[in-house]
Amino acid sequence: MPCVPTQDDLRSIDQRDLDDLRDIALGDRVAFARLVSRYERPVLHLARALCAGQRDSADDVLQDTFLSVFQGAHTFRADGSPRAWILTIARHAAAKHLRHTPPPAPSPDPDDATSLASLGAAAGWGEAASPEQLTSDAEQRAALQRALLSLDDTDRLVIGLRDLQGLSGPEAAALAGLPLNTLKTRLHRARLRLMVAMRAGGSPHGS
Amino acid sequence: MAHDRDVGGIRCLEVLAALPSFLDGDVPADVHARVLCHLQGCTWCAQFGGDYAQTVARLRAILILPQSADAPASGEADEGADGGARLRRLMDALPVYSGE
Repeated sequence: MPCVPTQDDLRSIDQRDLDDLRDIALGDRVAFARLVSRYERPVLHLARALCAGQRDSADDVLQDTFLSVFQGAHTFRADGSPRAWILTIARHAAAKHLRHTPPPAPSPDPDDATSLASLGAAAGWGEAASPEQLTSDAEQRAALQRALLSLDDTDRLVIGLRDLQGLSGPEAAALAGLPLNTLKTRLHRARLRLMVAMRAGGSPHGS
Repeated sequence: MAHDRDVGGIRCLEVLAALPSFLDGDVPADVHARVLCHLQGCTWCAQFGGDYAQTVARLRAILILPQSADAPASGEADEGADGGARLRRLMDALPVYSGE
């Protein structure tokens, strides 16, 4: 299992990142390879989460992310966090990539004007029987991917990190940039919204 | 509201809120016992809890399947093996000049 770096580790890594980014800005490919080796795994987790488990898309996002890092290293502000900067680039790369796929229907308000009871009810809570199950793995896979891609970025990210990538709560929270308790709440509601989307055939609004 | 009744000393809505922590085994023993008792006595919550757990299980079981016969399962196992190839592709794709 991946481990969570300590604060000391993070400070040390940040200094190495700063040094490498400075060198990358001058075209240093060895520094670039070092940075990639440290960030390939979190970027891949993030990309796979946002791309709803589509391996080829995630690899494209990873490639685009690190190329942007190489080309944009000179724009990095040294008072910022290299990790946050790189992960933000990855999120933008995923968003850009997903714009080439069919656009999702508008997703529910992520901050949740909807109560948990209402959301649960829309997801099937309180019904006597489950809807008819899809039969084949291929059908289930396609329906899940449609439903995942219909969610907003943060819902897809938290489900992807915890349920697709199998990261622990603290690891997923760190990658998503959310406090742990917020991640837990958000994950529960995201799963419920996924169930709503599944019942609607892949879109939260049944379109 | 779909339903909300007290079964086993805990209401349906509380069970709904506690569901993810319960499934992760991340609730105190007394809450775990009450949720379990509720699920044994409330068909609706038992049904929904099963659907919820099944949805989470499917995410891992179905979406993580390898996408070709010779591809390893995604997740931990392929990262090391694919990592070298990814880095090579990246290095090949780098522009000759940057930051100028």
